[in-house]
Amino acid sequence: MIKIEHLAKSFGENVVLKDINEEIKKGEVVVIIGPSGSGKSTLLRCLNLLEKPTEGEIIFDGTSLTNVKENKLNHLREKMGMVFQSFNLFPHKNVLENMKIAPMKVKGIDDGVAEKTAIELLRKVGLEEKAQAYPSSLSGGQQQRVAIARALAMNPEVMLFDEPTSALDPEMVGEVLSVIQDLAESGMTLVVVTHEMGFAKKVADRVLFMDGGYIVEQGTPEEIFGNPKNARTQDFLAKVL
Amino acid sequence: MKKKGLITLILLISFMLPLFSFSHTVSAEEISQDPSLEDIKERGVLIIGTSADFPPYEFHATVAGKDTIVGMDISIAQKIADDLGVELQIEDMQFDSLIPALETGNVDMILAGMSATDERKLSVDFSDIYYEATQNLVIRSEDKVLYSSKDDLAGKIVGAQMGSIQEKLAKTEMVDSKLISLGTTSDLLLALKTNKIDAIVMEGPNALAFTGVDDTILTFEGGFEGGDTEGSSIAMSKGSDSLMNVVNTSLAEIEAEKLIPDYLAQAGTYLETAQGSAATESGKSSMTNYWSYFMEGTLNTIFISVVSVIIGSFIGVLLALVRLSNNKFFSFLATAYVEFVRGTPMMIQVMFIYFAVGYLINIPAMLAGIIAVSLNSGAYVCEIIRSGLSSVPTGQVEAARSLGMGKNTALRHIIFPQALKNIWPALGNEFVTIIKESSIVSVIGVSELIFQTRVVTSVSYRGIAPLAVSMVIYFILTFSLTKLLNYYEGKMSHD
Repeated sequence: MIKIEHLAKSFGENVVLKDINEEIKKGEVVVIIGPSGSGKSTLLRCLNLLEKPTEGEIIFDGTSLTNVKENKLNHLREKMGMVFQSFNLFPHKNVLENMKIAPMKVKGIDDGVAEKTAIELLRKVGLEEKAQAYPSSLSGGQQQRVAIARALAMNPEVMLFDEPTSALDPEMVGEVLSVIQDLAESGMTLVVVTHEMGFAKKVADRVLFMDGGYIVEQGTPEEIFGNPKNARTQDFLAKVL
Repeated sequence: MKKKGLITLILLISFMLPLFSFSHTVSAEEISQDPSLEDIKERGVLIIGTSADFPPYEFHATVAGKDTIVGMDISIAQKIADDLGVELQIEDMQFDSLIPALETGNVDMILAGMSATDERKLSVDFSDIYYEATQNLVIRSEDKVLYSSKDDLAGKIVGAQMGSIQEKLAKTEMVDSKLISLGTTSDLLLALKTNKIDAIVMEGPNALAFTGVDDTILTFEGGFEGGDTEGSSIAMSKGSDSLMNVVNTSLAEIEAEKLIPDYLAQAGTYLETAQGSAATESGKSSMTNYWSYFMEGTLNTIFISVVSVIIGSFIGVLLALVRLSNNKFFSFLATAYVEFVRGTPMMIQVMFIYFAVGYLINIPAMLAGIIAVSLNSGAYVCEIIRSGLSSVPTGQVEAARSLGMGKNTALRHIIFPQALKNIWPALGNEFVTIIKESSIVSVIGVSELIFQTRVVTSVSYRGIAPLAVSMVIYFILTFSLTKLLNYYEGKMSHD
């Protein structure tokens, strides 16, 4: 579904990603782990071109994102939902409006239909009663669940999660992870950057370990957590587990 | 950054050069054809420039309930207009704006008690001398025993009108005195009465007119060597010989029929009634007598500010969008514009628009003022909008784009509404600033509040009261606007 070919990214002198080659299949749940500064988030942000790759190609559903026109790119982004570490809900709109704006303005879906979908998704993430609330009145966990529902409202083919629980108080991590787990079980394609090793173990089909701009090692959760081969993977896991 | 600035400068200069060279070809044509007389007759209106705070030459007076400019020069101008068979139109502005206004064709001639100095002759032509006056000193009556000649004022402070003959006399013949130059005679009299200066160098007739109606000041001949021979002439554009001939014929008639004393006497009665009506009210002239002057000024100030802020906002939004666009060339142009406008004084901008545009087409001072203030405001609004937009966290753009929104959709629905919360208060401040800064258009003779304040000062012979009144009016305007904006701001920030 997503093919990454010879991807490299640098910010000025600072090389963050070096020759990444990877393929993510439909329905697969891929979890990316690794120390801070290893390039996990940049890799994820390259997938929907929030960061423009310095070299290489991202091919999504057979179309190369790196060479398309702005319009086409917008259209392809509709199919890739993204959830950010800092939620990024629109503070001037209430929960329902947050969820309706993109379907209405981008897809041209009418108000009634958009509202119905939004309410359904809110029920799924357990926040139906917060439909009229403004983001500032919600807890971090609630905001992140709304952000997930907002991305789902566009009916994407893949969801990208950029450290979705890193900005949350510990007691709210669970509620967000369980929503993501439900998604995984429903067969949605997911790419998740996270520091939650327990979650990775439980949900991932495949775990990628990144360090220094490379994918150093990858495998099933059992292989990575149970029997890491690379010294750097062993070192990292020894510290976090 | 340095290199960018240099390029900006070069670009700007290359923009302006054609403007100047074009103006040269225009004046060259005028000389060869001399349409000066024909133009006026065709138009049916003679436009004269004057600085109406110079009694008895020209000053404001209330005639039949209406503010009118009267005086000896005006009577002469009326006579010339009558001889030409055309209407007379008077443009009132500061003295040092007169010659530029003549050069750019905003006025046909200047009658402002102006003397034909060699310096002025470089840029304009002068008629025959129509009036010769002495040069006087004006002092406070209580200083009568101290000063009786210009030499007594050694080490003291003397004042003179900026750009006038008297200023030059003070410089050359009163080297031991300290000179202070002010824009208007009213300001000078105020300075004298409030002990800021000890004497004013003033032309005889004016000195006599002012001291005649005010016991607290008196005048005597200064004993200047220069100046006495300098008579008043009418200034016209270089090479307008056909007009010059007609004017000199009219002046010769005035001389032959000895009309000048009549004109002066007439001016004297206006001076007396102006002073008289004010004095009868409450011993001293009350400011309430002049409410219509302040009213007109206030309305004009509000009008200029509102129109300029609206136009300025449009310009500002446009500039901001251009600056944020991907087109490097236009973005650079917009940046250059903003930096240039913010880096030059508004007074110069106002004068530049009025006089430079005056070369090409003759636009009214009010319009020129509004254009200048709008263009100025546009640059500041651009910065307000730009910083408002960049104050929205980048995460908001990323979230919008990741949902498939295009650049414009994201800007319109996500970024701009949030930026507005920051833009609104700053825009309000800009409005308040414009109300105050628009006072600068008074330099080109637009009758906004400051200009009208000067008029009241010269009509009422009171210095401080008009300033106090206009200060209070400005404060009421800006304070109530601030309160109004705060109210709406509070309404907007519900979340």
